Amino acid sequence: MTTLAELGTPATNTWCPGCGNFGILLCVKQAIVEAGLAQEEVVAVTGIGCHGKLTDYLNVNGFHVIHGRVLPVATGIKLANHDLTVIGFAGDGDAFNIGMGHFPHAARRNVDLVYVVHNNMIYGLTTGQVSPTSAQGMVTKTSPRGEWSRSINPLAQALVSGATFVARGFAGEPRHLRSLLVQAIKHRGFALVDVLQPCVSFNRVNTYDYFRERCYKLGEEGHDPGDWNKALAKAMEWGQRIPLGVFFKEEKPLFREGIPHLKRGPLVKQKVERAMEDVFQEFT
Amino acid sequence: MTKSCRGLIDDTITIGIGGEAGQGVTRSGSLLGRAFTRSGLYAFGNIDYPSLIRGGHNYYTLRVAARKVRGFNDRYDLLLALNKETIGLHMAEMAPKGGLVYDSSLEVDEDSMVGLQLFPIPMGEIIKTIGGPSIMQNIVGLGAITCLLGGDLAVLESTIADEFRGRQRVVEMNIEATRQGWEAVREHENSFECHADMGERAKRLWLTGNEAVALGCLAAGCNFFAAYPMTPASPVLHWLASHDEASGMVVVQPESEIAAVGMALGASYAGAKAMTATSGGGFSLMVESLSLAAMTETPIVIMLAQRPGPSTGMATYSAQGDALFAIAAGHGEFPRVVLAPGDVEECYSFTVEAFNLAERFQIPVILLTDKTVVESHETAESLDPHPDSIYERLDEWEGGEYQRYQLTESGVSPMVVPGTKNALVLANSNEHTERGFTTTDPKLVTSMADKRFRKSPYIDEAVEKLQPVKVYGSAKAEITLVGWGSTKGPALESMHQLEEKGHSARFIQVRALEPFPSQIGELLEGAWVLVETNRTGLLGRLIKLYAGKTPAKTVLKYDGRPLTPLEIEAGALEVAP
Repeated sequence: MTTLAELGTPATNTWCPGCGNFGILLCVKQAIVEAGLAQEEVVAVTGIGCHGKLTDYLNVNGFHVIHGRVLPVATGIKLANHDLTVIGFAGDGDAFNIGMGHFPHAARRNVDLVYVVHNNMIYGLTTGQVSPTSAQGMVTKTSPRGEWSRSINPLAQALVSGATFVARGFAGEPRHLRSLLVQAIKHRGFALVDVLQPCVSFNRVNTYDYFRERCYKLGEEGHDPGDWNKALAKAMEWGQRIPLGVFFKEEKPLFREGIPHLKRGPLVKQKVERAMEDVFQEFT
Repeated sequence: MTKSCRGLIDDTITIGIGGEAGQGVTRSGSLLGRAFTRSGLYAFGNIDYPSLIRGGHNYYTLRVAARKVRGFNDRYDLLLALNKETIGLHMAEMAPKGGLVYDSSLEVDEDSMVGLQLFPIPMGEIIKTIGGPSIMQNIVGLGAITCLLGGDLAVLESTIADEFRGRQRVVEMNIEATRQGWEAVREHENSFECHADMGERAKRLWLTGNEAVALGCLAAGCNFFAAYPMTPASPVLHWLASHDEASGMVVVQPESEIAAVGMALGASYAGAKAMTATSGGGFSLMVESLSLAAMTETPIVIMLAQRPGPSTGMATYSAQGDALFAIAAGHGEFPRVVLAPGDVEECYSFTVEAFNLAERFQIPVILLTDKTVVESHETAESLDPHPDSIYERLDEWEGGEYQRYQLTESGVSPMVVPGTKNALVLANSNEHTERGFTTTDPKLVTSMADKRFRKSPYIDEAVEKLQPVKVYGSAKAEITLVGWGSTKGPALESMHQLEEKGHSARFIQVRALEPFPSQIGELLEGAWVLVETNRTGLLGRLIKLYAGKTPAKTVLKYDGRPLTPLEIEAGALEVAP
């Protein structure tokens, strides 16, 4: 068990005033408290981008890695010690551009991870280039004629890849986001929480007001998160109405349950004893 | 009792086995090598194969002697041809009076085989009577070879029985096939002038470098291995995957080499002893994470099994083209170790040492091998079943606030596993404070870089204990050969040959490329010969850089095939006094 105060660090926060990341950080802290976790039981893994500073601001174990590699590192940590609660954090560029090659695999493996994507639909830390979730036609420093490509749909990607928990939150709806994060932490399996995160410095389109006008909660419209087809249909909804909430949730065997010797307990807690003389017999 | 072995040319017997992919060429060679090993002889085997699954030409070379043997001279005493192509390709490499064993249905132009002894055997018909699949022809051939060498059929049979253990019908058919092969050439048993004494049993091992690396992982206490398939490193992954439950190791094949090294780093951070293995292309993809390992001081072992490049090159052949890549890969400056084993014993012991160095100094360690080292079979004396294996993680912390990057005199900070009470472990790819928080403070970043490099003298000292320069042969030799990795085998054979011819020779093996053992300069006073399987003499460049010495002669081969002792000898004789 930990308290909100304990989850803060002395590091100076350098996010822009009003950044959606503040809301996400607060919700993550609250969710850790609400889930009843001790600080040392949690590992935060962050990539490169504004979100990546979170490991400096969240007082749990942390591994700030390189661009796009949150999922492999988080997977390795979880497989080595599944007693730890491992939460990966990535930006939309980190997760769906450079790190996209890992995303469907983490989902289909169903390693017990939480993956929080700070989705601001722009490259913030590098001062405003186009992102894979930027809207088609969006004008940025690197898309002066408007972005040509269609945008990545994180939730649909997660669903077709076999993710067992797929949700979307909004940094401007902290109470709702906190509830999603608690559910994701408690979920057994790979949990994606895509978080709409306004970037106040470089994204003048997808602002707090933009999302407030459009977002609605699936839970209030009787969505059944057990229905994969309906979840996919909802994942495709974007524009005048943007759904928030748990799109899909199911229980499936975990990756580690396919590794018989992990049933004895976490890998790093198992004593390594090997009779090499016996192993050598195979080669005589 | 001393064993005896007599070939047509010297005290070794070289056997070639050739056929299409899918005809069991590698298995035949390996079986025969194991049988010789069990008989107290020494064998060395290497497979030459293209990157395909069916068809093509696969060729296994096996050399046998009563002494440790390494490397080949392409002068075959015996050739087992499983198809006609093999005969055409390798006829010219036969020693005078060499024996050719082949299926009698192959239309062989006997007139062109002057000076050879022909042993046509109805292999196909034998297999038909036994009721086995045609792939079993190779086994008939093994029976014949064993007979021609005056060998021991019982040893071959027990080797085959162990190979197919648990499949009784297969064992029976294969043993019947060896017996019929033996019978088919029995009348020539005493007329063929090679002899391999297979009487006495010995407790040695017959294994490849890849298998030795896998065994080294086990002995080192490695419990996490993630790798993406890439020739010639994949067999480590295969072996460990098939032994994961017995060894308690988590073995993962992820989506890419980037994921493999990332998972290994995550596991290591969490307290596992972690490794990955690949070849040059895969290592290229891992380079960014190599730098991550260095900055976060996360121990990791990476095997880089070289094959010819650039790019895809020749997937199933060998080269030593990545020496400078291995020592310099990764952005930024950081300490690392690059070890270069030259045979199966070193593959085993250096894997263990790689883990120890990675663990002790919290650095990346690269095990730099090549196709010839990792895919050749070799008879190994014995491997140490209880090597020292270091594990230095802490799971208790009582010393005030835990700082992952605490500045220490040795540069090594206490490493706590996440999950430990009173300690939060923050690893950071950004330059960081002692606690692990990101910083750009000029004083702090200088002290962190200094901290990482304070490990260097201790790393140097530890590597020095591994004999990074090893000298074989007489100290005052006329001829000095210098090489690394897989050139060790042919260079030692060449040294042996030169001594037989009345020259004194020595071989200097460089076994660590980083930190580089500059003391090698003191040994290179006279003319010396650089022996490498690459185009530009990369070890030579390092010797020039660190020791200021240049070779009088270079023997460089870069066609993907191993150097032969004769090629080295020819180069050496050019500068011999």
